Amino acid sequence: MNGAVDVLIATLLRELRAYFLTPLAYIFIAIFLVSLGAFTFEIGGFFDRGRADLASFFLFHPWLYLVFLPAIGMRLWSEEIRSGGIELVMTLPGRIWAIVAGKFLAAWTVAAVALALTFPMWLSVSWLGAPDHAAIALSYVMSLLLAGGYLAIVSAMSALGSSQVVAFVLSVAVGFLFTVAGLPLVQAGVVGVLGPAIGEIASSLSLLAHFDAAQRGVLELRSVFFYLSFIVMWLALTTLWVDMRREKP
Amino acid sequence: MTRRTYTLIASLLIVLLFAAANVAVSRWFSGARADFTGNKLYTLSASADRVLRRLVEPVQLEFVYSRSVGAQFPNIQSHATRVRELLREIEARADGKVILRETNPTPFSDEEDRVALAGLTPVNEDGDPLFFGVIGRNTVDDVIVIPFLSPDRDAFLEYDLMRLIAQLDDPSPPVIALLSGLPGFDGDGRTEGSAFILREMSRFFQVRPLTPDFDEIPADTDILMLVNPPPLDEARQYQIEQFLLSKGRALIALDPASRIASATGSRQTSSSLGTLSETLHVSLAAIAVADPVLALPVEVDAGGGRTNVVGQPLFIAVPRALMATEDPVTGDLSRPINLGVAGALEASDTERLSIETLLESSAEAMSFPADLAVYGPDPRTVFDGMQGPAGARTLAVRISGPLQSAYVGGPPPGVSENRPSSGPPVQEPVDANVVVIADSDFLADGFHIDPSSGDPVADNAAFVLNALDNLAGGAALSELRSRAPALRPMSRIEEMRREAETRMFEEQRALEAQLAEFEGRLEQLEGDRRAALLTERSARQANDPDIERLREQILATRSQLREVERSYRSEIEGVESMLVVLNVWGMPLVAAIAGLGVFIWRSRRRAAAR
Repeated sequence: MNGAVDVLIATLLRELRAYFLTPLAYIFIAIFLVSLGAFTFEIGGFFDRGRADLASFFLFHPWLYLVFLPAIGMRLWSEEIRSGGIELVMTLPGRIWAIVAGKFLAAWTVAAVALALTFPMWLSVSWLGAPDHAAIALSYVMSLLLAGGYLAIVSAMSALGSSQVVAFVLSVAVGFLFTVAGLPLVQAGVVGVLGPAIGEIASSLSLLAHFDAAQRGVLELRSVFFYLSFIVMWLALTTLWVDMRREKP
Repeated sequence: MTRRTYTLIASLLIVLLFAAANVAVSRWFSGARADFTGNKLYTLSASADRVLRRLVEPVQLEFVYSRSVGAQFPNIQSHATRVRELLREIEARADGKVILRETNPTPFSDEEDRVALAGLTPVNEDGDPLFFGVIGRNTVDDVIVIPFLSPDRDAFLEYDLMRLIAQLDDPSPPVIALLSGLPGFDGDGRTEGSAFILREMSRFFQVRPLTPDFDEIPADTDILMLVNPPPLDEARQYQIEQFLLSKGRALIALDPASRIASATGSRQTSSSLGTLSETLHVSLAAIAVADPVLALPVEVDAGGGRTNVVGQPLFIAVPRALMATEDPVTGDLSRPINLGVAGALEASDTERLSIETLLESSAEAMSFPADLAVYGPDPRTVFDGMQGPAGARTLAVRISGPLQSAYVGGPPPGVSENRPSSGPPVQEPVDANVVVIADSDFLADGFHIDPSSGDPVADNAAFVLNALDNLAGGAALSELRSRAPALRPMSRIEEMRREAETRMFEEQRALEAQLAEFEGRLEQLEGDRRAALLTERSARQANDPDIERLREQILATRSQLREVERSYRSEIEGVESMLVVLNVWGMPLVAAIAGLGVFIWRSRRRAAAR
């Protein structure tokens, strides 16, 4: 077991170096933050609402994650599978999940750094009025989990697709489905075809629905469970698919 | 089995396991939550527990929800989930005294007819009706319903459910005799166009309207409510006083200047306590309170088709900080109460009675003549006409203790003959509990209801209902009421706006005075010149330099005035722009610089390695 954890840490550090010792992470973070800020103030109507809360800020997290996170996650597996470099590090099957986890955590760290760098928003809104700090803190935690969810999808799609572009497109598509599962457009179709019970299940598996609930300031056990199990599911699938794509000797 | 097949099956199993696990957790752990909201909106409160523990006989709650129709509307569906969870929690805490069952009526079934007959109102959405309500029954077969659980009333959900249970426990709602001289605030609250507060009152109380020529106050009246009451003759004032001595429960809303009454052309634009002032030891001063600090924003015409948003000192938003924190009527309110042209209450000395302030103005409040206020002067006029001394004015009080009749010599003439049922004068007065507020306009929708959503944006309704509930004796329930999410405004911006507009008014006044002076002089000079032209009959072509100079000064002053209006918002806009730049570009710049730094460092290392 110890060996696996070592592999995880080694992978994590290696990927973090790849992210932060190249312009990659910085460019991503900069563009992501500018977009989020622009959306919050211009489209979210931050000042027009006149409320000292971050609702118009968190509103855009799912949608920006959907589009931006595949960009940092798509490289996770595609290159290694294509170049065959995967063989060099995966001699023992038990280690695959450690590598999967390590890569995922590295990408999640980049997302976490980006999220952390939005702290000026929290400071600004505190200066403007008296916001509900507990609700904001909770929203940040859930946003981090949400980001993990999208990255987990990307991780799996990256293992599936042979090129980064394919991984990107698939990630956005699958992520989109899980985001809109709770929205009327999808619900109407699902309920019409599969019945209301399936419709309710579908909306309870929506990334967006669980995030919305958290923003009210209530931490629900089943939302936390949902995000964690979502991440675990996709990482398990990643492990499975990476294993499958190895050339058998 | 090939590797591919194995992978496919394993993948499907993983997905199914995920879905199943989440459905299971969602069902079994539906109540596991931590409420981080400022007002603990989503936790069943201690007051609810108290109500549940008071139950003697079991109460049956039937949750009616058309699942298939509701599934098409995510906000209905999520609200239904919340309702179901809350009901389950109530059942769990009620120790067997609340029996819950859920019904999913299929369209055109007998069940649908049954629930409709019980009083549930469905929402018909292009076809199948959506039922979403609660039917409550008690052991004596009373049926009380919540006809439709609107997601808009999300924050009041716990209150509505507990109120339903409490009503089933004691089905007879307290009776309120309402004597109202406020247009729009009359009737029993059950008709469509009634004011929001009146409708809310009728949900929990039995409202019996009284006309100004009432014969008697009904014997089963629990609470007397006077709203901008018309002047009454001695006999009726005596009746009211006797009611206060015998039952001792009243909510009185007076007004030195009722904007609503004046705006609708009613003649009764003010009210006073009359003889009751002596009984209650409280009187209403005949002035309107003008509070520049608590002024609510209104739109004023800035000329040229533009509007500005400025504070109207006659419309006061009393914040939490200026409400009595320990009184159950105001203690739990989370939002301000919006008053429209309120007066000031003055209490006279009394040792018997305890007179506590419930609401008061800021320390900067001044007086403004009530007879001018009633016509709705614009903010500038109010600022000009406010008179000191500045100081906190009392806007609402609670009077408690044994009252004493002001009719020391017995009933006034005219009582015994016309109203045999008024009875002998009350000998043993009860401990009275009377709430008096120096405004009646605050009861009208216009002062607290958002016109687009129909939702209250201030706690006017909560104040009234708390007061009535408290007077009726149900203190536990009043704690449940205002769990509405508190509106957290951008107070810094609002303060800046207030300061800016005070400055703007001053500068504008100075400039306008100057402008008026210049224009007056110009007119005079031109008048003189014209007269000179007429008498001398000489064509003076050259322009008088004085007139020229005056014209320039006038133009300059006018442009200064425009400048003042323009710069009024400039400080706020400056702050907003700064925040936008800081947030949108600040950290990205840091990230970019960091990236650049890393890039430079790496290329240096690589160069050194060569």
